[in-house]
Amino acid sequence: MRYLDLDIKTINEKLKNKEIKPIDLVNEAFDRIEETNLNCFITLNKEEAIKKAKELETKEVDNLLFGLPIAIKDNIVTKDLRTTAASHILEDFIPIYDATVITKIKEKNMIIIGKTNMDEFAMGSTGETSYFGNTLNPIDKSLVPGGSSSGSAACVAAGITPFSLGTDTGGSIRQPSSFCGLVGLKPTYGRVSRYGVIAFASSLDQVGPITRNVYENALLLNVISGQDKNDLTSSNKEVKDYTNFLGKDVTNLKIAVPNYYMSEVIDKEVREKIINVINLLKEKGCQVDYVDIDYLEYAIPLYQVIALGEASSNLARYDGIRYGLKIDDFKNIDELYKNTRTVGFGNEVKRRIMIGSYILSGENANVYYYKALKLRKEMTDSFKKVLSKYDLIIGPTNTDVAYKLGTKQDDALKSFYDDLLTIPVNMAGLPALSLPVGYKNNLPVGMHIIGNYFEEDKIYQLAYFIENKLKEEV
Amino acid sequence: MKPTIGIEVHVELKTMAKAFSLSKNNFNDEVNTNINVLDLGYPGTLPRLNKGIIDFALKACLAFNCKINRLMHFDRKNYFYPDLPKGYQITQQDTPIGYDGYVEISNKKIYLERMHIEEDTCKSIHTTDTLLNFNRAGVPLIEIVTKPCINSGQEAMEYLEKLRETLLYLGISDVKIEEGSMRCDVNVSVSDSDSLGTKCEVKNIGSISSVGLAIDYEIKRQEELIKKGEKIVEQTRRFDDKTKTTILMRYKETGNDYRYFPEPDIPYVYIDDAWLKEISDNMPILTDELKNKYIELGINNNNIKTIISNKNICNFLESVIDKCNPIIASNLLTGDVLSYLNKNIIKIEDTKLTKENFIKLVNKLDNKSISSKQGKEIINIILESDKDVDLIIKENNMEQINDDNFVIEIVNKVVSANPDSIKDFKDGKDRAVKYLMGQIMKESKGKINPSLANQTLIEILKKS
Amino acid sequence: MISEERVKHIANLAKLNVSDEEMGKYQKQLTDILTEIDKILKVDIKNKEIMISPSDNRNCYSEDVIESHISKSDALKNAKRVKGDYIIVPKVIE
Repeated sequence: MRYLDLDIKTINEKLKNKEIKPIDLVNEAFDRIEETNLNCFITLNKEEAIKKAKELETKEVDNLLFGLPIAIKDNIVTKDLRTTAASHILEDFIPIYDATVITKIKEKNMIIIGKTNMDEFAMGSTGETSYFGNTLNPIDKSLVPGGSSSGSAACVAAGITPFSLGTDTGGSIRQPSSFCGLVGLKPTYGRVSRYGVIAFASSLDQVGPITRNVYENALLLNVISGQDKNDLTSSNKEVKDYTNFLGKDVTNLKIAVPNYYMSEVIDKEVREKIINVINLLKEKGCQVDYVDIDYLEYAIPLYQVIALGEASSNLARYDGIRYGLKIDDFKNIDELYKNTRTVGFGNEVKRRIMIGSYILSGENANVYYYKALKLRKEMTDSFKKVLSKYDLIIGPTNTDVAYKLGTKQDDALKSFYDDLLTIPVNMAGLPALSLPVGYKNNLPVGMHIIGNYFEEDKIYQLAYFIENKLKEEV
Repeated sequence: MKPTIGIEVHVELKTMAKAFSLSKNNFNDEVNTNINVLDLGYPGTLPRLNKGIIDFALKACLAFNCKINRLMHFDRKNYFYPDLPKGYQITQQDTPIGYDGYVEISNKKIYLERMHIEEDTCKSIHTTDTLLNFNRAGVPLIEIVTKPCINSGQEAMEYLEKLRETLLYLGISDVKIEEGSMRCDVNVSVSDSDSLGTKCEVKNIGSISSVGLAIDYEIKRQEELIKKGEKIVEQTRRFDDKTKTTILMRYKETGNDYRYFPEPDIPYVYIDDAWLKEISDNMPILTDELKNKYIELGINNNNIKTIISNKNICNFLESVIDKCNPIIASNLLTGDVLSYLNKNIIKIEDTKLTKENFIKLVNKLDNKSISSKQGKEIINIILESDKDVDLIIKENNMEQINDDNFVIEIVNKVVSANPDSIKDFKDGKDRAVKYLMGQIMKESKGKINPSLANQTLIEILKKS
Repeated sequence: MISEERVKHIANLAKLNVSDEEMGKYQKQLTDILTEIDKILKVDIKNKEIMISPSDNRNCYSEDVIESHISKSDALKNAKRVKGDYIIVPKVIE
């Protein structure tokens, strides 16, 4: 009997009536890590998790997430628990403070099982750039789980924990959620505090929940959302109880489908799954229109300029002086910098910060960077125009389903093209969710639901409807 | 040949907390104690924004007649150096808080290009290794940049004095150039045509007078090179205090590539009218205004200079100036009070001197109820005790004799006792009056009002 | 294809070494990405406004008060070269 496979409300009932204890759930989680052997963790928090579970035995079960195991992407800092961002340069880094999202989940007495594997500094879309080796996809171990939140997705898909936190800069929550058949949300920029999240691209990064279903996703978003004085870009907009919108009638929702999202760049079978859902929605009485959103075709180069420019600056602090990798081979300060960083960073990261440094250097800043900031404004305005007429935008999350490990690893552009459909959402700062809506050759296909700023409620409302409708069909 | 000079000044603001982190803004405390995870550039940290630095910078903008960028953002200046924990400095490149200002010196206006907010770096101590003290990392700075409109070392010094004085009166910085809370870099070029010559930068000069010397030396050096037909090479130099010359530091790397871009972690700051009004309503009186006021009150130039350069004395004067004779007050403060303070190396707040006692003393001197000699004695007493001036006068029997009848009585007594002196006076011998005055003072035990006694004596002698 | 010199310049900006063996690979990969990036140069944008962040927050500041500090031991905890109370680096000569 696996308690962790039960739904959250049932587990909560069993905890309340003392049929099970938090330690039972923790033990199950650690057992399953060994059984599955997916390399989805970089650091396990076994001792602390057991200690915490024991402590909770004397406490009242006061919320739905009480005593539940959660896995945390390893670019979210956890006090006294090693945090590496999957990089050699932070291999032995022990944070001295908790990220705000960690403080929040600890307040709910959730139990951190460990720090999940990921692409190094969240740069990648397969999990393969990790210094600690790639993560396996639990659906088929020969496939990539997606990335960069590879371990966070694999861990939930394998039933190790019902919840995990990922981060999403260009698709890093939604793409692995899609590849692993899970529900993953990138909240509105500013909905969740970034304090304690190891920055990749500051104006794009956002933390979000990865879960088995829509309800549990909303439940976790409730906990991690809110303004934080330590993140000046976090919003003071009211945090709703996102679970309240599940089950609400969707008939009046107006839905847009960008033509680009259903064009030839997307795999045909994937498109068919999306069309299937569109038909369901039309049957329900929703208005679904095909629309144009300008500049979507520039998403990749736009992302490369902005994300890599910011990344080159954000990763400048890794120099081995105040923390991080110690090297002994240097004669002067310049060699200390170069040798530390050359040994400490992997190839993908090095390539990206080189590009980022270059596009900001000298006149390039004006030629590329400021141009990109203007293009970003245009693309965002284009989204806003559509969202002034429609409640939601839908399409596929990815151009295709999960592929074999090791494919196109040396292709410098590949990892960017995986995020073709997810990147524009980060550019605009909108919330978006990936929802499993079917299979292609037994591999899950994800549908992308994009909402207006701070309207995660509507996303969940539609996602919940589709989730249930598809269940009925099966 | 025409020299042209531009000056960049960095000034540390004395807010309570740092600029983009809220640890304590005091790098002189115990090493590496005034720091938090932000100051160390720890992974995951994000900047805060201290409103105090904007308030302080706005004061400086208003004092230096700058236009203000109402909607401003911050930028990152990226470079690798061990004293820069994040690998970038938060500064303002696109939207400096202030621009197009000026500072008035005696014969001209020095135009300011821009004034912006930024954060300081770690303090490095160079021994066999370089030691890093993060207490200074994140300390708020404003950088004030002039246009190339200064033409001599003298003008530069005058500008810097004025800048220093004003910042001090604004109460936003200690402006101690020796301790590094004010730092000056100058750009000097010389040209024999209408266009600007190639500039050389002289960095981190240790005092205002050294700035003057450094500039004058640089002008001479460059003029000589030009006369010899040599080309000036753009370079960074430093001023050597011993030889009073500038020395080449390193050739300026071509294109110090700082890769500026807008800081995404700090949202825009909008300075609305209400904010600006609040700042301008609370501006302290600045030195130009004070100087004019003191001139109108008849205080002499030397005293004005001394008062302005001693802000604490000036504050004290300001607190009493409406309630007593300003000339006497300024004489006392710049004379006996200041020499007492200097002798004991203390500030006026550290003495027992109260406003009330000081005002009383000045009024006594003003209405001549005590002599200036007695005034000297009393001021030294009330610097060390808060004993009431009236009581001191009474106890020491210092009350001056101003009563006409009593004065006539004493004068008559002395004159009639010295008939020879009347004769001498009539013969036109000046010493007679001096002698008689001495006798009068002696007779009155020094308490008689000397000018009144003198006047009375001459009248009596004439009548005799 | 971008030149070896350009790659070295870029690596120096990012404080990285590029070995001779890796040079060819970097030349190709950087060229691929920079070619992709050049696409945005062709977009005609009338708008002069820039977008720094999706956040529409304004005036997010704190009053001038001191918040908590970390202990000296925490400050030095992850540093690899420490002398007394200082974190040290090889001498930076002025």
